[in-house]
Amino acid sequence: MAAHIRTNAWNDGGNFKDAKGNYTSLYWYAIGVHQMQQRKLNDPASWWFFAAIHGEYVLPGSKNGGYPDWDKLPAPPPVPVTPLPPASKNSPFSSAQYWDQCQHANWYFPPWHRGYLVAIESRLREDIVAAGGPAEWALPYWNYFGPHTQYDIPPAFSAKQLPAPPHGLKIANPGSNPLFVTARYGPDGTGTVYVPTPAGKHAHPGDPNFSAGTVTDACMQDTDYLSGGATGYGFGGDGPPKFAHRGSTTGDLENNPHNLVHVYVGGGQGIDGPEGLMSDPGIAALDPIFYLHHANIDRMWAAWNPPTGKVHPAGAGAGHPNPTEKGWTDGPTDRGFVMPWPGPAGHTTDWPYKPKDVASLGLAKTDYSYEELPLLPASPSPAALLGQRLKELGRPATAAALQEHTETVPPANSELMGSNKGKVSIMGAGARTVVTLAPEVRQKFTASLDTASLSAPPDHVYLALENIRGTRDATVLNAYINVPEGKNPKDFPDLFAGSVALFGLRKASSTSGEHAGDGLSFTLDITKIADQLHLNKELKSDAVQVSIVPSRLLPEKTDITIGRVTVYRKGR
Amino acid sequence: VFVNLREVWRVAVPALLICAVAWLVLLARPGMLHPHIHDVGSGAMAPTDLGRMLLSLLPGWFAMLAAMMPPALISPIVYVRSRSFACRRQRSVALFIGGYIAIWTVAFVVLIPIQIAERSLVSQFWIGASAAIIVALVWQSCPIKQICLNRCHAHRELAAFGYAADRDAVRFGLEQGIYCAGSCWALMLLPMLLPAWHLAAMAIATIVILADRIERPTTPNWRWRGVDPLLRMVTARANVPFRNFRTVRASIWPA
Repeated sequence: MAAHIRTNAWNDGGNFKDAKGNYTSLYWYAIGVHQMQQRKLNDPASWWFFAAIHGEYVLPGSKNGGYPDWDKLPAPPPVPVTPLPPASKNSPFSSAQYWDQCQHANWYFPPWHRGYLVAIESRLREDIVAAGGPAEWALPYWNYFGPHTQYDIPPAFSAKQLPAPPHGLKIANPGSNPLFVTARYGPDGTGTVYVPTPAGKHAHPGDPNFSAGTVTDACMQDTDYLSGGATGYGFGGDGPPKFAHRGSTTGDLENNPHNLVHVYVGGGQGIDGPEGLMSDPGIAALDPIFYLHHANIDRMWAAWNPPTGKVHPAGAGAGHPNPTEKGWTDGPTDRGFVMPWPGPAGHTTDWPYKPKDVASLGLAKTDYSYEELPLLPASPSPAALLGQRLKELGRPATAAALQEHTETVPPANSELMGSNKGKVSIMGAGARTVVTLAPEVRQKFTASLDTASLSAPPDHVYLALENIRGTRDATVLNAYINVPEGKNPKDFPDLFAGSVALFGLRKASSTSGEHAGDGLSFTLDITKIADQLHLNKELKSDAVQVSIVPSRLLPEKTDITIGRVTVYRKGR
Repeated sequence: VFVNLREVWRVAVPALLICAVAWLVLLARPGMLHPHIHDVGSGAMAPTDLGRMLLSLLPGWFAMLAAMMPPALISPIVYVRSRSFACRRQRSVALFIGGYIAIWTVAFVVLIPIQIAERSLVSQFWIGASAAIIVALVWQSCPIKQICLNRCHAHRELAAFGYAADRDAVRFGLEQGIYCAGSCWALMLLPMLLPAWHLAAMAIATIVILADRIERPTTPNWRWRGVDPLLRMVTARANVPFRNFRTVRASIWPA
């Protein structure tokens, strides 16, 4: 039995008190957040210090010169901007060692965030117990894929008042709810916060500007951590083994649901107003809903992995392993991961960790589990998927051959197949661009389809949106292939390539401070669409139309640009 | 976009081979790095003599570049290859390298006269050597160097077709050259101004340049940039606990 069990935030209606009037885990979370918020910015036990560990706009080299600098954020919460911690990494609890650590768009995304969660959970538990709360308290999770209306944010986060604390507990700001933040605008920019899962979308049919970009848990069907998923990079993303505050190898779990939920929950006020906290990694962890969202992401990773005997019943489903190469297990060599950890007598110590220290539940620092840790439904093996694809391509393998063919090697060689010309500006209802294919590479791809077999698998094809720059993180872009001119892309679900959320866009586009300014880059697997185009004889042309449609209407003028839209093939 | 280890080695192996050959050449002919004192004379030099001397030093300069810079070019060349059609890869890489070398050729025209001037005008060798060491140390610590290093990590989007693809490859090479020269010029000047131990100084400069390039971008400020990033990488891969200079010093001289 794990030492702590994280429970669903929607238990007891997502409120501060249950039906019997007892305080819920959300109530104690609010008390813990409140206590942490009373500490100073440079205190490694403060809410603000932890938020800056994820990312910040408060150090001189990080500030943006306007919103969302921390001194420009609307209260609540009233975010302090002084005193800053020491800058030198040789000083204890320095900004250089601790702040701006979050790992995004690379394969350290799941383990770094697991370490981050257990560190703040440990700190919150200390404060909650000191305030008279339960010793078994654990971080709740927001399962927006759950039944009923769990796509809605739990009501405790929208209430402006906190119920009176238990007798004997005195808090600095009684009444005000630490879980409520002003800058949380939701997917429609109105302050109504929900996650547009299929059920969430169904419940909000009147949204005038919502076209696509549904939040799904399709990543759970991935069979590999590194490759082969909807992004081409598998469940958890890919290397290299470098510290990457913002890399370019986003995995499926991070892309959808993680990134999409961030920008839908944070949103932006109206069409072009300021963005919500959750929309930008430099302010996201100031919002208490952040940690419940990440607890759910962590829960999904735990459910995707092989069950560990300590937290699962014996004989549970197989699950999928994490990478075993040293580059992943030992973490980056250019900067390590480190968290503040509650020490004896109220002091804070440091906890340096590597992915292997948090690679599964039930380890020294991860002795927790989840109330709901569903077993993975059996996903088709890569060999079965290949067999299905060969059948669709009209080159079916025999049942005997399929039985014998148990292993497939992921395609290793990638090659540019086509590109558009010039930057694409994304504004209003979106944009359309033409990707011109190189005839010799297109022929190589079609030949791979025409001669495909179990021993010579057909190529995969990917759409890449490269060097996306701008300052509006609260944007979800949906890509469609070959939608007829003048038609509405959302009427062509078969031509839908996928969605990407621009979480981290502003920081990735900046050329000041430590940023190189390359912007964000994403890939989307369009193999299925390409196969269909090939079967319909529509891939003879060397031009592919790509429509980029934002989930919400954007202002008529934005600074969002896509540097290059390309198509890659991956195969032999 | 989908860069695998094999593709990295495809670039790294020739780059390291070029490096090794350049070091062998320099070891065999160390004099090619320096103007001969008797050629320099003591007074003003006629423009034709200066031109002849510059030309004679050009092979040594390129050998020095080839010995020091290829490791730093592996990442941008892998980038150029992955963003280009397979049939254009060699052409794009050649144009990229052309742009890069063009910038270092301009740097040659600026730095070599400093070397010649030092040889001809400074009578006591330690003055020039001390100045070179001080300049290198100051530049190694200054925020402008960090800005250049950060920009070395920037990878612009590259057009895929025709003239635009050629233009972007050259432009990317020029940008990488500018920021590479901006961050490394003082380290390059150091072995040129020392009276002896040129190759040893070059080897040290090469290691420092490699460590600089390995380190992730960071906020520009005044700080010492040593070889910690390289040591950290080597010790991590060799499973040896990393001990930075401060830790070692503290263990030898406890506070």
